[in-house]
Amino acid sequence: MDKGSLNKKEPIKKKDLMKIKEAIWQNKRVMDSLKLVGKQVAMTLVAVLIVMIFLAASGFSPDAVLIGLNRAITKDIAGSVRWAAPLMLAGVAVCIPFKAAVFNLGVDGQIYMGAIAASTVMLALPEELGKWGLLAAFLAAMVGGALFALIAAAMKVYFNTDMIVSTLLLNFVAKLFTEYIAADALRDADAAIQMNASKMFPESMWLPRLAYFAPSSANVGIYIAIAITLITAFIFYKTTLGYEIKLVGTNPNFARYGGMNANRVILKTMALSGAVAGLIGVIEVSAVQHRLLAGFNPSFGFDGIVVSLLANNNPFGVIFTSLFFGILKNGGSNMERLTEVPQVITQITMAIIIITVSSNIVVRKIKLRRRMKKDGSGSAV
Amino acid sequence: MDLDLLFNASVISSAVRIATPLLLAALGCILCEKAGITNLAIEGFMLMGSFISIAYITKSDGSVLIALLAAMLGTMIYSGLFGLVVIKFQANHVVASIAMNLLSVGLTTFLLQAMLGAQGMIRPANIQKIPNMELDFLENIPFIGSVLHNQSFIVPLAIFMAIALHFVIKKTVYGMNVVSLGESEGAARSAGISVKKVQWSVILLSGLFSGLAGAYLSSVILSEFSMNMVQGRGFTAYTAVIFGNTNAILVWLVTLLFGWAEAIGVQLELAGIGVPSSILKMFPYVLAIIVLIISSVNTKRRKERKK
Repeated sequence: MDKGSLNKKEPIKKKDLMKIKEAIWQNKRVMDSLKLVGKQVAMTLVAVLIVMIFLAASGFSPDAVLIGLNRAITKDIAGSVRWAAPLMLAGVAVCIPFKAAVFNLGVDGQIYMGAIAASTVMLALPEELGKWGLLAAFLAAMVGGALFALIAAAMKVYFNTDMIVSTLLLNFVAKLFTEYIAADALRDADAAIQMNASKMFPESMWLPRLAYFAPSSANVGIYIAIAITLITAFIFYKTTLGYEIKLVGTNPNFARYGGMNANRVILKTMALSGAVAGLIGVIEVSAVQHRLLAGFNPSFGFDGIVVSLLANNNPFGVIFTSLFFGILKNGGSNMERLTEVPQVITQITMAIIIITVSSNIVVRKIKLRRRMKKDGSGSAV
Repeated sequence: MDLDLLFNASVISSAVRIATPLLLAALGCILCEKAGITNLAIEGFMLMGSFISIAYITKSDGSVLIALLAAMLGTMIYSGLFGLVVIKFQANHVVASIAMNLLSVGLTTFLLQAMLGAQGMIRPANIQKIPNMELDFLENIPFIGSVLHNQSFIVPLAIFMAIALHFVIKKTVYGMNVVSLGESEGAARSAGISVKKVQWSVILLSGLFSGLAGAYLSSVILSEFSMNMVQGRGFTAYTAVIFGNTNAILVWLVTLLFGWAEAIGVQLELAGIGVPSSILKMFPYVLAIIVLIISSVNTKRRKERKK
């Protein structure tokens, strides 16, 4: 069909419509992604179903899940938005190195380090700076997260250490360091009740919350998260770095043959991932807690793995899956409030989603392998 | 700082006590690693084991011995889920491990609330502990005395199992099968080894060992269960396996090193030298990271020499 026929606003003939339909059906990429979306949705539903059966088996009413989810998308949608922002950023932080076949399980540690850097900056700068202080805190958080991520990356590049173990161990170091900073170094000595928290940040530096969703703590972070996700998509699909990431992730031998430096890609992706993780830290402390609280992070990093996995490491997908998990997480806490079922069911659901979805990935791989055999080429991964 | 503070009898004794669950979990992990399965799920298995044993004690007459057996059996069955996902559905090992760890935290917290009616932690009052070994004649021997005297019988059992595993891997047909599977799956298959059977066996055994490790942690050392109580010990055990180059005896020594790091943290905190406790608690993890770097440099050099 040429463009002219559309501009003239001629009624689309039935024949043309059939042609378009046929073209869509024949387009492998569209069909593959549609199939993938269908499968991920189906697997998620299977996981939710398993959890409901599990609830019924342990003597709870299984429709508690639906009651919680219902409230999370109607009355309490603000809470879902509040959770979606950090989950979206966590999903992005996981998917950048994942795409290059690098496992970053240390997102949690990078979140802590970002929060520490941001808190230190906000408490050190004079109150009059206002939003400039907040901007400085954002930069500090990104640098903090990136530097912490680079420790693991450098260990991999220079000593060839196992990245999975090193990032996991660094998480514990970061968590304990946050405890030290919050409870010792930046401790609020004047507080009536002593807890593991720093002084409050000056109010002029708080990240604004969304007035529309008041009084919940849903905040501007959701806009930042969407922007970062779109920037990541741009990097993935429109830049040289994105091409390098993709190639190193799918075919490292070819990447080396093409003169790419895999080590440099590891360092770059980890630094980017750490910077995004740092953003979660600064958003959480500056918009939600307004101070550095030792246990502010309910392991967003691991949730990010689920978000990214369900989105098949696609940034556009991350937007949707993080919204879904935001609803799920918020649905969990609503469920606990409305019914007798404890909130921890959310975590079980997430775990089962990982299990069903990661089992699913293999089916695709087998199919790809079959297709590769048919084509007789090895590049179709 | 005088050296006595770092190497006195009580530090070594508690180092051995802390190292034992690490060693037990590491034993299963060694088998998996030899068979080419990256098993980080031992973290979750340990948590499940520690929950099952405390749950059994709370619900029954409180015998720790049967609780240990129940934990081993229960965790073995639970590890079957990991086997199903990894072997049958061929999921990525690391992703499946993360799912299992998440599931274990969620499941134990949920069951703690739903089955035992407790929030966050439980300390069964009816626990009937197995008395520690009183080996007075060993007391005066410097190292062995503090290793074995006044410890649970599981400590020598774990050491014995480490030695036994070393021989099983080196000398038996089963051990050879496991090793050859890890080296090359194709070769193992053409040699007539049933790949799936071996994979299932190592995963179930790792569940068994981790179950015992967790049960030892909860019902022998602490006599309580609290939410997420394993706190990365499974990951530390995995690090020990990597550093020990999957050699059971070496792995035992590495776990002792980690146990020592945690023990002197406690010792220094008690001595009150003014370092905040969160900084002291970092020491085992930092040590594990340093150890990881050293071991990777070593393997890298070895590979380069081979070339």
